[in-house]
Amino acid sequence: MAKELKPGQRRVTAGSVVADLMIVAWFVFSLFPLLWMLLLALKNDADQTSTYFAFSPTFDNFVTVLSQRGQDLTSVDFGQAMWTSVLNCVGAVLVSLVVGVPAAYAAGRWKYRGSENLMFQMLSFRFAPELMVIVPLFVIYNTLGIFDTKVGMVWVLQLVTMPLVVWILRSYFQDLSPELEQAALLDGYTRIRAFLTVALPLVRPGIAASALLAFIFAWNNYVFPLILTDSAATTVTVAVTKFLGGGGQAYYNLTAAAALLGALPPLVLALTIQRYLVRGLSFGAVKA
Amino acid sequence: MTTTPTSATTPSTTTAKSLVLRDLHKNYVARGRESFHAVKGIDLDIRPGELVALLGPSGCGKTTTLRMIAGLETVTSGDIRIGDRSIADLPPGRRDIGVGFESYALYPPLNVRENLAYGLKARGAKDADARVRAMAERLEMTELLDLRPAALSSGQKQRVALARALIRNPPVLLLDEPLSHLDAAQRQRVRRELKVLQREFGYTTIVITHDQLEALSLADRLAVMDAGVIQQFGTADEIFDDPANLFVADFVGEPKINLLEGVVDEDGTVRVGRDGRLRSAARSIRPGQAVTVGLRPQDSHLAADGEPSVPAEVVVFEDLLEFGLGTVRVEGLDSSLVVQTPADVRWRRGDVVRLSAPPQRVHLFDPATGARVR
Amino acid sequence: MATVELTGLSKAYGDVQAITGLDLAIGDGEFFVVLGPSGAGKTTTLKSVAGLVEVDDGDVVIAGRSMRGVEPYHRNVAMAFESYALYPQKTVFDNLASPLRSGRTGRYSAADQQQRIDAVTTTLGINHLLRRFPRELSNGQRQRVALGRVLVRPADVYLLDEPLSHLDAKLRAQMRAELKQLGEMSRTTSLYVTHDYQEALALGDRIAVLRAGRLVQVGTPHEIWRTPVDSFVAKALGQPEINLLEAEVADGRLRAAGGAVDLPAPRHLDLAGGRARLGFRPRDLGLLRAGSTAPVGDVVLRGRVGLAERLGRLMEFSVDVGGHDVIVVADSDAGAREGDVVDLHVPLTDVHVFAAGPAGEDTVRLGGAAVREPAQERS
Repeated sequence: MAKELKPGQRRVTAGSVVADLMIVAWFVFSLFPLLWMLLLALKNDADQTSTYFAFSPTFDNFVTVLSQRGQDLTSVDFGQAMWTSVLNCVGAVLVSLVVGVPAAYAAGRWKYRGSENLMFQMLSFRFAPELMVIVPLFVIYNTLGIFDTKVGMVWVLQLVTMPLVVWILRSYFQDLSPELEQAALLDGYTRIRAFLTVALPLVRPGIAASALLAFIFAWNNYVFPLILTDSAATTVTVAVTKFLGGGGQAYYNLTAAAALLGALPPLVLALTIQRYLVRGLSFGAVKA
Repeated sequence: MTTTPTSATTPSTTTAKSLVLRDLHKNYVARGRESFHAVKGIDLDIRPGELVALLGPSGCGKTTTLRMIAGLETVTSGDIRIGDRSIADLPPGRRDIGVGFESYALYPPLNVRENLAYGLKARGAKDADARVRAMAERLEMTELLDLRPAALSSGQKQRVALARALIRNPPVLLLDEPLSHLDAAQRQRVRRELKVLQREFGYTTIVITHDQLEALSLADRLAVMDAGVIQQFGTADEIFDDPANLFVADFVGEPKINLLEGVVDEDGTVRVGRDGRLRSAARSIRPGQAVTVGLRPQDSHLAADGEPSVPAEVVVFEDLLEFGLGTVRVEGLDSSLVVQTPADVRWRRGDVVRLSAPPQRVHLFDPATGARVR
Repeated sequence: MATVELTGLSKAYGDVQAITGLDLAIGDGEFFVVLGPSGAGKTTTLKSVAGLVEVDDGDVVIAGRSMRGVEPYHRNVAMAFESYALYPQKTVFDNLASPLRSGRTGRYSAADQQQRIDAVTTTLGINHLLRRFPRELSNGQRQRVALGRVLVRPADVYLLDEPLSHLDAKLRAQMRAELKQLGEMSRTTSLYVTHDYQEALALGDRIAVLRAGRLVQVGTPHEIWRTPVDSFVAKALGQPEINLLEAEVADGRLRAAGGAVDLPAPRHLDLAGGRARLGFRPRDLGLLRAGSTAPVGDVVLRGRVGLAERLGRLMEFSVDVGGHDVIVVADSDAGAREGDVVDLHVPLTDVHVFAAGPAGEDTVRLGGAAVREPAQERS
């Protein structure tokens, strides 16, 4: 008779214990900075450089960051910077979707000489360090008069997000059987309507996922706003670092609080559209 | 060592051993979920050198059974014996069983030669290369030895997978859907080849399949499974012409058996539809009893004068040249019947035909339980 | 209703020539089957008619009108796809309503739509599924919905791409009969693509056999079955495949398998090369019971049964005839067992004579070993 293990039970060996310990160690190492930042954000100015875990927590830092005092310390209105970031990122994502969705559809459906090269070219922009193009961009922006403007930021952030949207959505469109649109053509619909009424609704999860990723990438971008803005179009990422102090004192606790506030919008966004991120909603009708 | 004639039930080599399953159960239990009793007490006595097909629809427990025999799945309770040795507690590598997987499971980076030798070398066999060569010659695939799996056709992959299962010279061979990835013509050829090889090598073999034609043609005996239970174990003749219950009758046979509601009449014939009557060889029936009549499309013929018969109107007739298939409607029955006709017979839509069948081919079942009424 | 003509149709995908110079003329109301193995260009042919594939050369003419430059949505053809191509985000009802709502296949009021959909779902037995989504359907049900989307509106031509290929054997047989019934009822010109010869024989008014993008033969099921133009067509129809044996002509006899097959060389055929290839269909061969003699004029082959395999009511015998395996399909009560020496017989009219050729290559059919009397020939 075979020995039977209870449900959920498994054999415990020396090897399995070591493996478990290693997994725990990895988690501690990777999550520790997050934990530390959380603690730091709750410390007052006196405790901020201590390494104790025991202190009296305060939410004052969050208030300070958003208040006049914060603005005095950094010469930047943090709330304003948040709003600017939102506008910049929404703008960049919208541009990327309006142009990128049809582009991704075309790239997914039609093959022509050099189409793969073109796609790679698009992606290769993402490989190059942003610093490589920052100087010419700076000159161009000054000449065109879009330095430190939201239009300028949308334009430059869109360069970051567009390839992302096109690449993600292309694979969604490729997974979609072309026979669905062909069926629509034979039902009497034009190509545009076949695209709009058949293909587009089916890649909604892909659009949501790529839009979110694009938003996060744009939100997190640091180099472009650092060089291409001054104060009028300063974004969250730049504003956060101001608390480290240009010449005066460095406020680690305020920086941590600002960083947490700055991380909030993408986090909230991700949680709200989580269910769209689960891929492959309804591919049931295409070949079993 | 003796060699014996090709009779299926006699081993042609001394390596063949019997395989016995005794009250084998598999119960999947998961915390917080309903447990799933996949295999519910299977008893099977497979003679040395016999080729048995485990036939059933997907989810019937046949693959779980195979995996328990191979040692890839723990046994909940019951026993598995090869010869006189119980193997239920042994790890897969020590069971002396060759397994051919449905997906072939060839190692992609290795060429065919290395794939074949892999299992032998893992066990430290010194003569691995010689045995690979011998096997390749026997299966006429020496020209494939230096190719990678990616370069093989599905028929060739099937052959390599088979060779790999055979090469360890196992007393018991398990093959999971060995023909499922082949096209119709290849399937015919490989099926015959498989049967000839099995006879020649004499391994006790279990073939898992959902294809009833494959099982009928390949196996010495078939075990038809459903819902974790063996519904019938017997030769192709027994399974086809003497089904134990409604499930077996319905699952085996193509075109599908016709199932009609009927009532036993005073004169012992079965009334079917408004005006139809059929005579059955069943003896335990009594007048007034409700039965389900199973009548294979191949078994009905046009009634002679005076013979009990079922009048029917032709709805569709398909001429397949080697034979014809008529779909007919019987007054008083919801579903239509399919009747196979000999070549050169042609029916037209609207024709009225009177159908009959040999009494021993008219199977009766209990409508409630599906059990055969004999 | 309409005729369909294909003239010199060619299409290549990159280096792969899908179809080459295809000519076909399909009559008004005809149920026309295109039969071929995978990769023969069947689907490309169908999609060329639909306008979903841009052909490199040639023309499609529907109802006498050239379709060059005509968009799919202006061709008034309806198609069932092999993948079913049901809109996953729409219910069965909306899937079926889709062609009625486009405005290009006629104007239908809501009541008209409802009535047409009711009619077609009743015919196909899917009225209870109208509120479901495709993902909630079985394969067989999806197949019916796909068919419903074709039938729901009047079209000049129905195009059906392997509609039964994803169904299991039993459901396929049932649906084939239903399709036959539908075809007989609707009488709309239909182009049906399949790799299954039984579907072709059962459904087709005529069959076109395609191989590697080229037309091999067009004819009624009887013509294709009785007089295949070559051994490719002969092999494409019938399962198990036709038996082929290499034969030599000498002394007015045709001999194969080391003399185990011996028949008079047919004088009406040109066997100048001294060699030929004989074909016997497994079901045309009969097993002679002990003590009985073959009908006059039949060829008799003696061999030993290697394998006897049950195929339902029938048995498939592999018989060793002079060192060659000959497959015979006979009734399960034929009485032969493995190891038995048996005599096989076949009427000379059912012996196909093909030209000789290199092993593995298909050759043209020269004719039957005897001429079929006109009385025997069925229309």
